Amino acid sequence: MSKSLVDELFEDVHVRHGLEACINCGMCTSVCPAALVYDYDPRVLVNLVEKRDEQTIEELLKSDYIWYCGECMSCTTRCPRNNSPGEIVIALRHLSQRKGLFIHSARGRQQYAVLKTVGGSILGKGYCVYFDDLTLERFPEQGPTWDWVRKNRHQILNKVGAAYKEVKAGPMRKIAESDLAELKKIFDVTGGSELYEIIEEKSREVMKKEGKDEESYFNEVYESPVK
Amino acid sequence: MTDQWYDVVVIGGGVGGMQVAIALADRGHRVALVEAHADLGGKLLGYAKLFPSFENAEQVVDELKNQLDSSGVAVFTNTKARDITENTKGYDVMIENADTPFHGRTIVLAYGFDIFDPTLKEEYGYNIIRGVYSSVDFEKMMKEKSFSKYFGEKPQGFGFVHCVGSRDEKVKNNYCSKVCCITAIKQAMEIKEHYPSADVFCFYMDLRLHELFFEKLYKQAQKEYGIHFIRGKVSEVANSQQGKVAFKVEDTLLSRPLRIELDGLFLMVGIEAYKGKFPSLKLPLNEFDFVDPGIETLATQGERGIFFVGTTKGPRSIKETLQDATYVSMQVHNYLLNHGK
Amino acid sequence: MSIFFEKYSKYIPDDHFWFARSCIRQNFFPGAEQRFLKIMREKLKKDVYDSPHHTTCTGIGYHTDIVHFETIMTVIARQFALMTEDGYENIAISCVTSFGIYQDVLEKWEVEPDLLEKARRYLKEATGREFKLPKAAVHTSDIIFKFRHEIASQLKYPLINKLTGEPLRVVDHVGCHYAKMFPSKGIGGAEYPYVLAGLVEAWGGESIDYPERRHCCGFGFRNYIVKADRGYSLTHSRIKFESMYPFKPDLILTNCPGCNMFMDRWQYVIAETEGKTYGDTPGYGIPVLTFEELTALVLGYDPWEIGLQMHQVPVEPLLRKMGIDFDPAGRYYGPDGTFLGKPEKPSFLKIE
Repeated sequence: MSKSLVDELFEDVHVRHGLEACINCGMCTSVCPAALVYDYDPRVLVNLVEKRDEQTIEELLKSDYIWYCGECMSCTTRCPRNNSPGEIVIALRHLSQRKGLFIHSARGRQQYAVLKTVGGSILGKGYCVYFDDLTLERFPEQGPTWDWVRKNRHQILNKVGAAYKEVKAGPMRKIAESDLAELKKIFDVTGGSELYEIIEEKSREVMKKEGKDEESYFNEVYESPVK
Repeated sequence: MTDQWYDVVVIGGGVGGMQVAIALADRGHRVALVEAHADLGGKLLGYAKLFPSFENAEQVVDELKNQLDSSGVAVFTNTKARDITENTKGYDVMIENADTPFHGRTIVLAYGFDIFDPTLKEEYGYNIIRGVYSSVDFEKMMKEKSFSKYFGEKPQGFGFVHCVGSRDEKVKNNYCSKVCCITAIKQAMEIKEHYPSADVFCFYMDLRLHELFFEKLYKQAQKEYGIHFIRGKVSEVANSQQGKVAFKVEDTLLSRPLRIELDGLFLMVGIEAYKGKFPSLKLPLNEFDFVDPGIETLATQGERGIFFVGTTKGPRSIKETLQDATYVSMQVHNYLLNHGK
Repeated sequence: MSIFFEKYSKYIPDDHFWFARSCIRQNFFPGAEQRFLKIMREKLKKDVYDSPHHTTCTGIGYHTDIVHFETIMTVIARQFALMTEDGYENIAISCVTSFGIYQDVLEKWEVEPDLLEKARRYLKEATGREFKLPKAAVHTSDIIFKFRHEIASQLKYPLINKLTGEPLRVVDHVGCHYAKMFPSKGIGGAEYPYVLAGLVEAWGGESIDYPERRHCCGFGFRNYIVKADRGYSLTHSRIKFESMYPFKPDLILTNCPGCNMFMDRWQYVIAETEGKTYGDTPGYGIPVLTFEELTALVLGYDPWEIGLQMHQVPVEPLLRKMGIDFDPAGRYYGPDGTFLGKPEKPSFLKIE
């Protein structure tokens, strides 16, 4: 018999470490950046989780509510009960993806964009973000000076001592295939590759169902504003 | 002065110590009361008015002192007990800067409590941020009538932060100090009387108003004084460029994070166990360093001839301490009778 | 403001560090990492090993939730294995998110030894490697803090405004993951962190407190990475700028590379979209420097070799205040003297 969502959630290392019991003092929400700009309240989130109710948890995992947090952990510093709403969010997001429930919310679907950008960069290059992918098209806020840096990359990076795409120690070096292979193996052995596959697979299900090709789906989840 | 045998040596001349001394002297016992400071009265000396009646703290102290005077208790001020050891017939109380100890067949410990040090809650910036004071500072301002020195003539608003150093695992005080909520309401009303046009806020987690007439005071504060009650614990405090106290709090009943600027913030500091110790005396302490209530049952209390009054055992109001002192005096009396007096 | 410094003084080793690079710092401020190494080796005579085999710790992947705990802890384990094999027991971490993750992983391993055993098994299976736990896992700003007085003794340009004779007004912004999760792992704790303020004070400047000092810069991981949510990130940096502006800072100093990048770029976006700037001269922004960049500046390294031409908010106002001898045109030339053209000027933000 498969485990309930509640059981799985409460077995997660982040819930084990991050959930004691909430007294609703509101210190977390008062400093939470997400609470300031979204209709979101980390204290309410913790209260919902504490109900230990299967239906409530399932609804949470399918909703936008778990995707507002910026994981800054400002909520953790002062909680008088030693809770960490941020850690609980990590557990919820993980479970939501593992169970394929993230596709039921607009913000959850954005994980496909994260997978393709950051996820691809990690295994493909060994960096979470890499210079070549930091285009003005994807990141217009980087500004005209960044554009100029990109245009003159070899000169400028050389001047500051970078090892751009070189196979040696230094910033922006090309990470060797053997090291990338070890990283991939780690992902395979620990279930990291499996998580990637689930996000990919579930997202493809949506693409198929909604008749979207990969590029337009990516652009939709990457750029379309969500309320 | 010393080297005499007393039936009871009471350590601590606060309300609890005075009351237990008076009660025992009234029953004909030889009682010595030793107090470290120059004045009797303990923490009460710092208070202006007391909840819920707004009577003067001074009056309560004076009343007890009068009774003490006529009771026959031998009172020793400026006398600090530094250690207590057992002897064949009872106890020796060693005194700082004195050679001869007091001898007592029984000891009553009434050393009171420590006030939580608000600098330990770094996010409130006590002693760093201008305009942040403690509830203890408030009482001083009341006694000295010095509010305008700190806040001028036309402050816009004040806030009272409940549970500073209480109900907080970050400072390892996972308990309620019991008397701060009603004190905050009292102080909120007092400052509102002083500055009627100021906005006064109480920022609370729960309102713990344990005595019969406390709830009425709460309603009076809301309805007649217009005190605003916001259910949320204040987190971060800083000074704005104009020197006001700028802080963050969630109104948890509306699920709304707020950023507020006021002229003054008063931290309701909690009751902590007294940190001074008597090295030779092994006291049964619980995890919060208060004397373990386990010894309070009639069977076990005073097996060794040592008794505890008031806030040595945990947070208590003045009324409760006085009641406790009377109760303990009865136990001391019974002990003395049973042990061949 | 060193009030809580003694209470939160953590162990920082004296020498022999294994260097773990930062994805964001490498890509946006590569000169900063290189200056750190140069200063450690040439000015402080320390041994810092820069391994070519280490990878990202995957921290951004972890905090965007596509990498989960068991994976990241094993990647961390691999870094420790490389460190052990290279003969080091101290790790100097360049990224603040990364620093937070190292502390988090070490703490979870300490509280749950089974997890540590699991990490050993995973690493062995995936790579054949074994590891020892580090003796110290510190952030690179901790190290510069430790040697701030030595650096002060070698100062070429103190943090004084040469035009007025007054100390420079420096706002610091400490990355959230530096101390908010584990205050005891941050110098000075989480409320009044001293790691950057200590540098400022040691080098003659004035550290400024302001109401939103402890507020997150707004990176928010997925809230920036996904283009649709980026307004979140902009908003929180803006809240900080609005709060610090009345205090008239000359400089924003950071230890987290992400924070540095955001506070630099969002000033540009605010200028272009609202016509609003926060520097003391209208149209100018407040220069934002990483601690390595500032350390290199006060020691007299050339601004364009440090990489300050890569910042969107121009640093020249600060360089002039500090009385630094620099070639204003130097930013437009490559190392071999090639003219690189000039970046396009924004419509509102003034650049040089």
